[in-house]
Order: sequence, then C-alpha cells, then structure tokens
Amino acid sequence: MTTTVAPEARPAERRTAPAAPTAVRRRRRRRGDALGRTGPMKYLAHAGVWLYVLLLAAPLYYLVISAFKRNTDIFNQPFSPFTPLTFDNFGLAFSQASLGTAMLNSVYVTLGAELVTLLLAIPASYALARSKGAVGRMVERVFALGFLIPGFAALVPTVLLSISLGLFHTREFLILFLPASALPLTVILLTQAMRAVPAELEESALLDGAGPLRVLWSVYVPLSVPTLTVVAILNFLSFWNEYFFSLVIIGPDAALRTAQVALPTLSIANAAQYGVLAAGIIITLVPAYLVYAVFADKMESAVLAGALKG
Amino acid sequence: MRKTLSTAGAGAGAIALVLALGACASGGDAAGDENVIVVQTNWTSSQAQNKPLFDAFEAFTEETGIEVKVLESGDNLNQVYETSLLAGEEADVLLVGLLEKQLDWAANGAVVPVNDYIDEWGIADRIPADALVDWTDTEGNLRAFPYSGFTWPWWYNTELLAQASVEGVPQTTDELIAAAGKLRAAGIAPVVFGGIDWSGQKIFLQLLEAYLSEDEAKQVYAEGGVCENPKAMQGIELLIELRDAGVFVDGIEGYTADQAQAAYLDGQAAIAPLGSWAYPGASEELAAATELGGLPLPDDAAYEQPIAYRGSTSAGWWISPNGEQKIDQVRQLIEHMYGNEVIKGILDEGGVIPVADFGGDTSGVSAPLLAQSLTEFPERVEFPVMPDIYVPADVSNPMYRATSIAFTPGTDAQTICSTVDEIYAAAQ
Repeated sequence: MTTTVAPEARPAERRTAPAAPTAVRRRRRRRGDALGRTGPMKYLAHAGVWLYVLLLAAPLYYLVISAFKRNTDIFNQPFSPFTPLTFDNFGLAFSQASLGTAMLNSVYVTLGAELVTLLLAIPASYALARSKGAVGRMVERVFALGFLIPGFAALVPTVLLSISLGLFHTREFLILFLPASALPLTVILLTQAMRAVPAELEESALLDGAGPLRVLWSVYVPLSVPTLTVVAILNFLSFWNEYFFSLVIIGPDAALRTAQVALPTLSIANAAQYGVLAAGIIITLVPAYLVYAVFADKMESAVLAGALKG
Repeated sequence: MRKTLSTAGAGAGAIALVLALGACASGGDAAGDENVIVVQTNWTSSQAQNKPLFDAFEAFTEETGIEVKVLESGDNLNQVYETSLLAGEEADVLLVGLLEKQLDWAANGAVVPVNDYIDEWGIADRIPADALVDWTDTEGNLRAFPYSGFTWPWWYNTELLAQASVEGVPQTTDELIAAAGKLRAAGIAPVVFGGIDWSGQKIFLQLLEAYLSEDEAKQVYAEGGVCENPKAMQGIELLIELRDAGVFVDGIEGYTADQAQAAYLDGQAAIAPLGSWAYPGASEELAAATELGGLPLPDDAAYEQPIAYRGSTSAGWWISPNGEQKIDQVRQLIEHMYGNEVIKGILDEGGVIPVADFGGDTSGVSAPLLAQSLTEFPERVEFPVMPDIYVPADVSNPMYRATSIAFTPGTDAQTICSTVDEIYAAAQ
C-alpha cells in the first residue's frame, strides 16, 4: 500500500497558524530546545557545513570568473574579480571551436541515445516488473552485472565493433553504443518504479480488453513518469558529457565531433587559452543546465515519492 | 490521458529532432576522395599564430583545385590517429611534432618513411643536416619532412635586474647566484619555470648535461644510468647548488609551465626559460626589456658559453599509408607548404621558426623577441643536445615526478639520480 502526503495540506496548515499562536510558540520552543541540546556544537556544525559549501562552490566560481579573464590574470589572481574582465572569450570560444556545429552534434547523439535507451528500457522493465519466475530474476541480475564493466575495458572491442560494422567515424555508432552503458541503471530504476504500480490497475485494464502494449502505454508509463524523468536526466548528463568514446570513435572532424571533443582544441600544451576554454565550458553547460532546470521539479517529486512510499 | 498525450508528443518531437539533426551534417569519405587531402594537426585555428597556415591551405586549393580538409586535434592527436589507422580511415597527412609516440611511427608502419620523397621533391637541399639527423630514426627512416623548429632561451628582464642592482645578464653560475640574492633582497622572484611538468623536465636535463659531451648526453638520455655517470652527477650537484642558493623561486617544485610563464610575463619574476611559443605573449614593454640568453654555467662545465635549447622537431609533415595512395596530390601540398612565400608567411606573421632555409631574411619579422632569437641570441649561447628525441617515450612523462623531486629543497643527489634511474629501469 502506498501513502503520500497531499501537498495541498501544507498551505492550509500555514493558513491556520496565525489562529493558534500558542502552537507556534510551542513549536519554536521545541526547535529552540533541539538547537539548545546541541549546545555550542551547533555553531561548529554550521561553520563546517558552510565551509563545505564554499569548498564545493569554489571550483564553480573559479570556472565562471576565469571565463572573463586573460590568461595572465587567471594565474596571477585566480580568484580575484578585480581584474580587467572581458566577454570576448565567449565569442572566441564559440567561433574558434565551431561550438555551434559541435553542440548540434552533441544534441543529436544525446537525444538519439536517450531515445534508444528508453525504447529498450521501458519494455524490458515492464517485463521484469511483471515477471514472477526465476528467469525474470536472473535477467534482472544480468542487468545489474552491467555495473561491473568499467567503460575503458570496453574501449578496444567497441572500436573493433564500430570498424567491422562500417560505423567508425560516425555519430550513429555512439547512438547505438551509449545506451548499452546506460541500460543497467535505467532498467533497474524503472523496474522498481513499475513494481509499485498496483496490480488492480492492470487487471482493470485487461478486463476492459487492453493488450500488453496498451497496458504498458496507458497504465505503466504514465505512472512511471517521475522515475522516467529521473533516468532521462541522468542519461542526458552522462551522454552529453561523454568524451573518450566520442573522441576515439567519432573523431576530430569538425562536421561530426561533439562539444566535449571540440573543447580541448581551445587549449593545447604550450599555447593554453584558459579563459577561452572556461568560456567554452560554460557555453556547453547551458543545455545541461536548461534540461535540469526544466525537469528539476519532476525529479524532486520522484525522489520525494520514493522517500514517502511505505 | 493528457499526460499520456504530452509524453507521446515529447517523444515524437525528440524523434523528429534527432532525424533532422542526423541529416544536418555528414562527414563523407574525404580520405578516399582523390581531390581532397585530409590533414590532421594540432595547429588549431584557435591560435592566432596559425592563421598563415590556414591561409596557405586556401591558397593551395585556389591554385590546384585540391581541397584541404583539416582535422584539428588537441594533445590527444597521436591516440586519435592510431585508432583511425586501425580502421584504415586515417588522415592523409599530419602536421605534428616529433615526440613521445611519434618517435616510433615510421618503424611501426604507422607512417610512410619519406627518405625517397624528400630527395625527389627537391626539399632535402633546403633542410639543415642536423635537422635531418634529428628526424631520422635508428633504422634509418626519415620519419617526416621537418617543418618548424623552436628556440628555448632563458629570458632576462633587464629592467628588474637593474632595479635589483644586478649589472648585466649573468654569464656564470656565480653571477647567477649573486643576481638571485640581489633580486630576492629587492623583493623580486628570481628564476621561474614549471618545476612539476615538461618545462621543468627540460631544465632538469639541461643542468644534467652541463658537464656531458654531446655523445655522453645522448647515451644518458637514451639509457639512463645517471648514478653511475660522474659527469651527470656533477650536473645534479650543480642543480642542488643553484636550488639551495635560492636561485629558483620558492615552491618551484609545484609550478606549472603556465604559471611560470604568467609570472614572467606579468613582471613578477626576473628570469625564466621560455620557448619561442611564448614570444607573442610578451607585451611591447616587456619584449623591449627582455634579453634572450642561456643558463650560465661554471668554468669547468662542458660549454664555454651559457646554454639554451633549440630544435627542429616542433612540427613536420608526415605521410600516412592513405596519403601514399594519393602521393601526387600530397607532393603538390608539401611543395606548396615549402614555398618561399608560405615559409615567410609563417615566420613573419605567425612567429613560427621554419626549419627550411629561408635565406636569412628577417626583415619582415615584426615580433621583437622573435627577431632577437634569430639574430643576436644564437651568438650569446651554445646549444646542447635537445633531449626530446633521445629520451624514450615511456620515460618522458614519469620523469616529471623525478623533476619535481629534484627541485624540492632537501633532496640529495643520490635520491635524485636513483629516482631517474628507477624510471628507466621500469620502462625496460
């Protein structure tokens, strides 16, 4: 049985709060007591948390501020915002690395791989979720074994496969290959989500004459949308940021290379342009950030739903 | 139901977008097209100094009708090339330097030796003999056509030296130590370089060969055995003397080449060994104040003058097995790139030092430091053996750690030589 907290209840609670000042005071006192029990340690804990936040934020700040600086200032005053700042790095990064074409290629590979992953993972998860037998359990474990294969170990056979298929130096091979690395996590998460779908819903649909595909599409997929969103975002980030296989298999051709392969051409050993490179990185982060921003609420609800399931 | 429809709509939209993007770009099989030459290079268009190269490609296409397709690679060029070679889809021609994995390319069959072509195409006469030696491997294969070289002088900021009351550029070890003391007293950092990376490795080896003859240096670079070589140990003792006298900036063992370059170009350090690739980065004022020289040595060293590196291995034109299939078109491209107009262009506008004889005409060179490096600098220094083509590829990168250890205060000569020898032993 699944229980969830209706979000609508919270504003109602807030609305009633002014009418019950004693309850608020009691709650504040309780909170104060809780903090009071921690004693001076709470200040230490706060300081530790903020220090940790600063440590996490420092590289991001460094990346952003470097995107507006000259090389010399990046090295001599790495964290200072009080150096001459310029937007030129962004224009240079975009034109010199042909980032427009490269980002279109990244979108193509990422969306293509995403679609293939979901097309394979959704029916597989549905079958595994409904399976009651030993074969189903074994297949699910086989998917889990996929976590044990490190990406680099697959490099040589993957290159040989792409050559033998006549797909070396193509983006399409990556679209076919990347889902293989994403399927284990995707299938396992989706299977768990689909197991939570009440069997009564499926039975009702079957009584109404729905076939297995109709049940999947009209019952399981809509109820799995939060988890689908989570795996879609995780896969998007993984595919978008993939570098090594894209470099080796798609190659450096400016018409085909992805954004992650184009970026390093902005900075080579003895002629590094770190400001331009930082600007290029920020440009390529924008799509990833937009995807996250658009789907963030769905992802959070999926996580919360998972947390509150009993 | 609405949610189902919106999910379906999003999926259909994504499929349509993927199909549209898939149709957008197509690489085509340029490697097999006889009217297209594919050039793979780490001379990226993002570097302003490479503009004359790309202009030369355009001029070549206009002149011959042969298209030049450039594959720009970063520092991973050799890995990308070797993988594409496996697929038989490698570029026809490469413009890249001679170091690390490239050292073995001709012997491994990854590229075609150009011994015959360089004579047939009349280019051999224009290449200095020592450059041909550098580009020839132990099996006698001329690996590629030598194209661009470098100088690696020690830069002295004469204004900062004067501020610290240092009279003139140091010419001996004692003068260098005295200069470093005065610079420190005036609050100016003395010598800076990347103590933890490739730039510091070269300075470490420069000190190592201070007492070695050319042949001895080549042997030590190729085989190691530093601890057993008394002259190499003298070089390490010299390093320790300079380090402990405060000649190098504090924390040199953690500096990167980029940090060191920035420190000199920003006027924080008075002395830095920087390669010719750094010339364009110097401001007019700094270039005017900079005198290019070498590493000052003691009286009993193997060289009478300060020493600095120079080389002919920055870049060469390599021909791949695919390139040999269309050798006539490749010949036209190579001959075009060795044309006087192109060579002068990459020198005058790009600041790239050509290996081929360009007649000594530096009148068109506008960059003052480049001009100085071609005229006065060679008279001030002697040029020892450049280690890159003798140090085995498997040793080169691990030696960065040994370099950092060597520049760390408190490390003795025995520890330094043992660390280096262990790297050679591990590579065998």
